[in-house]
Amino acid sequence: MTHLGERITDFFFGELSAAEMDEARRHLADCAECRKEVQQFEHTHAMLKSSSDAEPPRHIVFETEKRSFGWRWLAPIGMAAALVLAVWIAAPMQIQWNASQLVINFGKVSTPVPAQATVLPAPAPQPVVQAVVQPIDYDRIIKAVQAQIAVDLKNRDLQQVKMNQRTQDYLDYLRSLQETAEIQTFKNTDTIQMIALKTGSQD
Amino acid sequence: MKLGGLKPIDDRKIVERVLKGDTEAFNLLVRQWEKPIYNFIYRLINDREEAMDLCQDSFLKAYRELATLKDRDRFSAWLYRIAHNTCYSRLRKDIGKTFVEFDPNTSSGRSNVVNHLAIEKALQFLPEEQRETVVLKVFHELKFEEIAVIQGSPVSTVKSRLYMGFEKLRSILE
Repeated sequence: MTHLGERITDFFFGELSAAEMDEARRHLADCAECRKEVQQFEHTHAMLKSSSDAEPPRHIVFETEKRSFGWRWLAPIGMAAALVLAVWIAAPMQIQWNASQLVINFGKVSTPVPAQATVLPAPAPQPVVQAVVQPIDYDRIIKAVQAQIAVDLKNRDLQQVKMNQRTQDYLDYLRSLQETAEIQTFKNTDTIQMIALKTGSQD
Repeated sequence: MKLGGLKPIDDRKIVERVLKGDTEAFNLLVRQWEKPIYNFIYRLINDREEAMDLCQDSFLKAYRELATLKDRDRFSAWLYRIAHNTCYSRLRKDIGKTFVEFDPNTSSGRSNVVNHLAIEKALQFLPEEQRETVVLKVFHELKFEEIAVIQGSPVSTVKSRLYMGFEKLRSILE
């Protein structure tokens, strides 16, 4: 058999077939040159293995995105409130309870009719709803709703900006902590190296 | 192909859970492979912070492309391949730069600490492919065939790289 040469890697890591391994062992028994090479290979491997794995400086965590609970429910409520407000603005409404009669007026408030002197027999008391039908000003409603939505959006944006700022501040704080830790680690490494060198030179 | 006696069956189960929608199960894969992948990258580029960023990028790519993994028993080999590509994209940006200044005095180390530093530095003196081959073979104990798949090279080339790498390291470290 010729010298092992590059096949030393297969031999060393046991990646030859059984027959090839036997053949290589027989060759090594007779060849001092290859034996020496295997020993050197083993020595380099042992030196490399003495270098232990490092711990990652931080850990990776995957998080699924959390939905913002509040806004999902607040938005429709806000919209409904805006709509009621808009209807109120667009069509003034007056509610009165006169002489056992509930009177709801939409639109312009009608001027009260002067009471007649004629005395009429009192009707059986029952609530009566009178509604003055007037055309609804849809443009005004839409504008009011839009204005309310704009206010809501502005508030939400402001809150988002504040949240972003808080996150940024926290990140800055973490960065500063990390920098401090790195500086300290660097100093510690230097100290350890110096101690190691001193210890080594005393040996 | 199964890597280094680690738990490909467990990996497969977790991969299937993630693909069925349990996205947070991906953290189990991260926990299992974070340290090996981080150390693989760190020994290639010799920068802890950058290694951490590239490690994170590798897992992010793995997460996004998990559905394209055909053989779910080979998650780790696939992950190493992603880390390899991520590192080489980064290393290509630094062509011509010198990574380390090697002090030959530290190579005749007399303590474990000095030895460790000398080895880390000596590795940086190898060409990238040789360095990667040595790292995957010595520290991650992969088979030559597995390394060949990760590097996209013939097995014979991988063996030559390891042999040449060891020759060079011996001359530096001894």
